[in-house]
Amino acid sequence: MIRQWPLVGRSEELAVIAEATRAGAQRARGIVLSGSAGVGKTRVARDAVAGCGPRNARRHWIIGTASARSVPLGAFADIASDFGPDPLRRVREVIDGLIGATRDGEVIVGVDDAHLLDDLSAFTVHQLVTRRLATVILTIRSGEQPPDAITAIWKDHHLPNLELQPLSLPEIKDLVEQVLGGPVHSLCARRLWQYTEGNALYLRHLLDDEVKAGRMAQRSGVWLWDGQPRLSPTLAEFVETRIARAPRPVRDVLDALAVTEPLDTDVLAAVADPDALVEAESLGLVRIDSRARPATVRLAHPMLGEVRRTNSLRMRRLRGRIATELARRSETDPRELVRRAVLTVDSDLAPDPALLNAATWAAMQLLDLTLAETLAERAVTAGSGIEAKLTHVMALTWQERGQDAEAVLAELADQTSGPLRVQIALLRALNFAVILGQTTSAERELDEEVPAEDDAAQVLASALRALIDVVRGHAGSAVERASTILAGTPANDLAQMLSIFALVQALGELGRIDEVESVANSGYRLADRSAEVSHLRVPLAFLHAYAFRPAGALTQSDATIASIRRDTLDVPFEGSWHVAESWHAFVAGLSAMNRGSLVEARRLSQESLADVGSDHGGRMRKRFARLWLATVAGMAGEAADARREFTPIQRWDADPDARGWHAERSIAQAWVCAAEGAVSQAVSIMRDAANQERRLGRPAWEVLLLQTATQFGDHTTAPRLAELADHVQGPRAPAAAAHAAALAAGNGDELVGASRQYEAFGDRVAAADAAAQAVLAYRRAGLRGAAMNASATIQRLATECQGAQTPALRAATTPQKFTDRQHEIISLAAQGLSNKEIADRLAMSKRSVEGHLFRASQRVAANTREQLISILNGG
Amino acid sequence: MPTDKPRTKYLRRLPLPYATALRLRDAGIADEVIAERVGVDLDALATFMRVAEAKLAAVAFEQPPT
Repeated sequence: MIRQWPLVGRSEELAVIAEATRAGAQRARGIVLSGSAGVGKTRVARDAVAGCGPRNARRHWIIGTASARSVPLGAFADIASDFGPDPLRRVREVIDGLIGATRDGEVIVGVDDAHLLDDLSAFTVHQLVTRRLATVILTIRSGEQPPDAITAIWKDHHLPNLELQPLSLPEIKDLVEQVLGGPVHSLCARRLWQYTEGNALYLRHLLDDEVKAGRMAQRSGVWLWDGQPRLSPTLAEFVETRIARAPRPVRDVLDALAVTEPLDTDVLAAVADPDALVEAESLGLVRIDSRARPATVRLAHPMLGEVRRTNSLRMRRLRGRIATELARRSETDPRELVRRAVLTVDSDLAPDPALLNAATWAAMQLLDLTLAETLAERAVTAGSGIEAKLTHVMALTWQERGQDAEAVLAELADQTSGPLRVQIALLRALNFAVILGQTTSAERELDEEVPAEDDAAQVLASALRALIDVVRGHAGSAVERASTILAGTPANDLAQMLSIFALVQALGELGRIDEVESVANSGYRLADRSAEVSHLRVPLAFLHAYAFRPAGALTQSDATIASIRRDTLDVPFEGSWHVAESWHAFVAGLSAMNRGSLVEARRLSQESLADVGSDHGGRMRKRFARLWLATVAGMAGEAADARREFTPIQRWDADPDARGWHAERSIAQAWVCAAEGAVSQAVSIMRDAANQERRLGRPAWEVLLLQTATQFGDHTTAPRLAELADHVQGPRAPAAAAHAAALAAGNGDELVGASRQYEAFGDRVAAADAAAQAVLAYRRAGLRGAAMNASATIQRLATECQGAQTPALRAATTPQKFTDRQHEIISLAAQGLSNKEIADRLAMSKRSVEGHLFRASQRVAANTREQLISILNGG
Repeated sequence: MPTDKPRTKYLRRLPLPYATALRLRDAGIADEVIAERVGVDLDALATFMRVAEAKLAAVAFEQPPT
């Protein structure tokens, strides 16, 4: 962190100060800066004192303090200390000391905390201002009583009074990013802002502490705060001083709210004195919202709670009383259930296994899976038995912590038999198939442990088999299986939801996107009415949005993403913000990548990774986000970044049967190779992947893969894309077919047409590539005017894509000194690959590589490998 | 001076006290009420409003209407 914090968000204030300190001979020069403690008055005043007036001005910095207040002229002790008996003479000596006996130059005086000046010091400052002896910049804390002489300075309009306000959210974000030297997760910036209420001093203390304690740390390039600050002694002192002035009953009100907030006034009245509540409000320590019935009460600032929150016996008893009071009201809201359970856990009450179990489910429903995990663990400790253990596993599974869930499940599998073992087999299969991508293990659990005659278990097993089909890339059989299950309207809500998952995803892969919407909607309706699966609405929404990707139905995809945003933005339970928000960043990243907003896509994907705490958690999200990061970095031509993001993915995809996930990985890999200059390798990766999709029967993915190959310049994709365009719904297939045909024919006009088709549905990188290929086609045909027009289009699109740098764009926008093959080989040489390595990578002989390099050298009269590389890079 | 619709948008980006003061002034509310509402001394309101207008203009400059 930097030692000197930058001054952010004060440009307009500094402009006003500059003007006030420049005032002409008609009026006094200077300004009064007022504001609450920590808002940044001193910093602004110091900058103003240093910056105003001529360079050779005499500058003084005077500080009012409570201790010096009792000494007349105490604040000026450093200026003049040898005083005679006459008070007015003493003032004159101080003035002389400040401005110099000769009075031959300008003097700037800064007075910090002027409200703490003794009367004589205040009178001296008043004299400096009213007699226009110096430019005076004063700071005063709002709400304090300054000496009359100071108040008169602005009341009598000698100097203007500027009340500094706390920083806004964008200003706090900007400040934190400058101090930390990197991007900060948007949501963390918001929380820092809310926590500090825009107060720069609080922010400084908080950041110092949180960075030192490692709670504010950089993950995936983004600074992230775990949001559970502990107060530093200095910060706590600020807050405690404020509370100490309040009488005991008021502090009891604060304690109750420190335990849990908001509290309804009637609950609060049962545990604290109602009159004290009124007093707490008048002291500005609590806020009462009377719009609700009964009115709700919150602490005026979260830090008030921090200093009161302890684990003393008194506080434990208080938690118990509030939990008991809440229980009396028989609320059905899951939030109240969770709150009551959390209070009970840290209270003097005996643990209640039934409450803890119910609250675990409620926490899952509220998407707070971490809390669900904690509550489930407590339920296990409280003796709730196997039921709590299974709930615990569910919480782990839906956090995508597959390894952790499997560890518990494997242990339970060894200890159980009969119906319980069946239940465990089902959970284990779910975890293996969906989270760990180990389809063989998933299938083995179902085959060996679920009895054929157990109809209820078989329905769920069948839904899991549909998911296994999806993971293996067998979209056709997944649709068949899932449709059969749903036609029978199973009583098991989880079986229904998992079938809907399988169906939504498989329909998208088949290119049957017209059917996706109604299936997904049936899932949302199910989530609305079933507490057991309501938390699954978010993964469903992702599958729903993702199903439209291969077909290019980006409008529908974005509409789904917008609706996830609406559903998760205000998930009210504290603690679940990271789940909702990182999911939001994740799906928004998908949208940005689909549309070629490369910078945005990188930022969002990084943010979605930043909160994934443990190495085991968020496995699927992590995998997708890294793939997208690799893809967009490749599209931006940033080879090293792209390779770095891509490399770990290969390690994660251990199960060779999990082919359903290969298409997206191949796309990322091809873009990595393309950024490295190995374009023919990128094309062959796309062709192989497209062939695999053809064998699996996933035509929508096949279209996207062949489209990408065409973007890389593959002239052979037209016949197959023409076939696919007949039965894959959505705008991508016809656009890709038109693109491939136009590229094969070398027809510039048709390539421009294809570019427009891509742009119309939102794939701007493909639109830019097709337009770039049009430029080359026009140039080959000698149509310079048309080539220029198409060049303008690619420039616009490359800008809209936030810096796309694809092979096609490079070819169209930079002079081509080499053939495509030579370009590719020199690009790989530029990355330090030997001729043998280049030959292996491009599947050719070492002799061929040497031949290409030799002919390239002749072409540009280069004598060494380094010269060739330098010429390629524009040297 | 930004036109009405973007002005509303820009106001949302300002620190709350400035946005509140500008909105109240737009609505023709008396200075005494504005000063009380935003917690600023009445004698400091003129400077406060100047900063508010300058901040609004800065936001408008950074984010032209789309």
